[in-house]
Amino acid sequence: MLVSTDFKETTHGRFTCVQCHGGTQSPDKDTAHTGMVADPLTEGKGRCDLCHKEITEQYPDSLHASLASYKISMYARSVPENHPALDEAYNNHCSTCHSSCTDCHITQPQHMGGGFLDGHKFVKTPPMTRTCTACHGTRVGNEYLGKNEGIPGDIHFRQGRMNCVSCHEGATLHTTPEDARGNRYWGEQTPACEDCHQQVGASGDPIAQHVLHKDKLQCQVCHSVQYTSCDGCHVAISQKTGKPFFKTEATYLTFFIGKNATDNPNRPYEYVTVRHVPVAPTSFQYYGENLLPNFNLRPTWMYTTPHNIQRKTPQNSSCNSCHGNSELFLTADKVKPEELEANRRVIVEEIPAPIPGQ
Amino acid sequence: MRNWRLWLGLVGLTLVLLSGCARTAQVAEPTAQPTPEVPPTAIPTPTPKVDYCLECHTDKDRLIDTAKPEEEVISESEGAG
Repeated sequence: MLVSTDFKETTHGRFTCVQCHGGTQSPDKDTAHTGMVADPLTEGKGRCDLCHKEITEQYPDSLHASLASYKISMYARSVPENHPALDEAYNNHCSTCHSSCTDCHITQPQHMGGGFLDGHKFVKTPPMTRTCTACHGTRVGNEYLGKNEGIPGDIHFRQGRMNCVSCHEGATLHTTPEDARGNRYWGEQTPACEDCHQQVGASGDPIAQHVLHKDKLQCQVCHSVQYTSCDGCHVAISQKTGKPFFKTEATYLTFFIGKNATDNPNRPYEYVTVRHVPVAPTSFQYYGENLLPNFNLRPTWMYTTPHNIQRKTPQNSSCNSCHGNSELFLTADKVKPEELEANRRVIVEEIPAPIPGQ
Repeated sequence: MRNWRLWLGLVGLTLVLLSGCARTAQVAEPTAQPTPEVPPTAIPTPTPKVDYCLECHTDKDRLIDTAKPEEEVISESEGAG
């Protein structure tokens, strides 16, 4: 790894290499590298805590570090006796998404080619496309940047030139409120659209639909467009290379409004946008038979917050663009028969009736 | 002569008494003094005179010359992750 010559002039360059990475000062490469740790933070040898104590104390509980929602989702569809097998699958396939201080502030992910962001210099605000959307790319990144063919990027990006941290401030990335540590949608909305758009739904809002639909519809129901859904992710270990791999059966664009199954008073909406998550009853079959016997306890069409916000969308062009338009709603006929029971709480049984005269 | 012997005796007695005081002082328990905590510093030790790590890792040609050949990683993953 090539370190820039001016790294030593930076604040973090005041540490010696050995203080963070271990190893030995030696002109011989093998001697120097004995006991060296490439990413000190993965083995708890980092020194971030010396100056950034508050962040490093809270960070282990954040979803970026803990990935707690992965296991919670897996366990929720399973039974305790299957947890060891699921843990093995998690360790092989999911835990690599864990991110340390290094992963956002010094390097870019391996699947982006790895390497330093800026010659080992610490980057205070991670660059959006080399860090944030490098991991959150398939769904959020493609939606926000307008990479789904025929679908415009998010208005906050197109017109506002806003990057991820414009809404997702550093503090919310370093910490996760206690009630949301199992799932980001369990807690308070951080960020919430209303943090900036405070006039929406308030008295004096000139847009009547905001007042009429406030708290009944998630903002994205009216203001997002088609987004990515995935089906049938299966994981295994390669017989050839011994490396873990996955295969996703299908990826496609959808826009469906479903019923809100979050049971979260901070998200009181009756209708929300839903996205198909790639889980299948046999997703972890490589690790054992029937590891998700309670597959139906959790929907496969999940509450989602698409990142392709538009001011004008097909569904908000008139009242009856949405009311009475069955194509927009997740009705039973759009759900795979084997997943009907799992999605019972999100399927819309009766779509809102058309409004006469509109 | 007698006077000289008296003075010698008094001096001797004084020395014996003083030596007794000295022994008492030696056996007295020392009082433990709290050591002030040294806060961690962001610059724990100075950089060595020759920083072999940086000397090599800032030299692109040398890194290329000494790098292990990269193994081609073939990912068998398919579809969106």
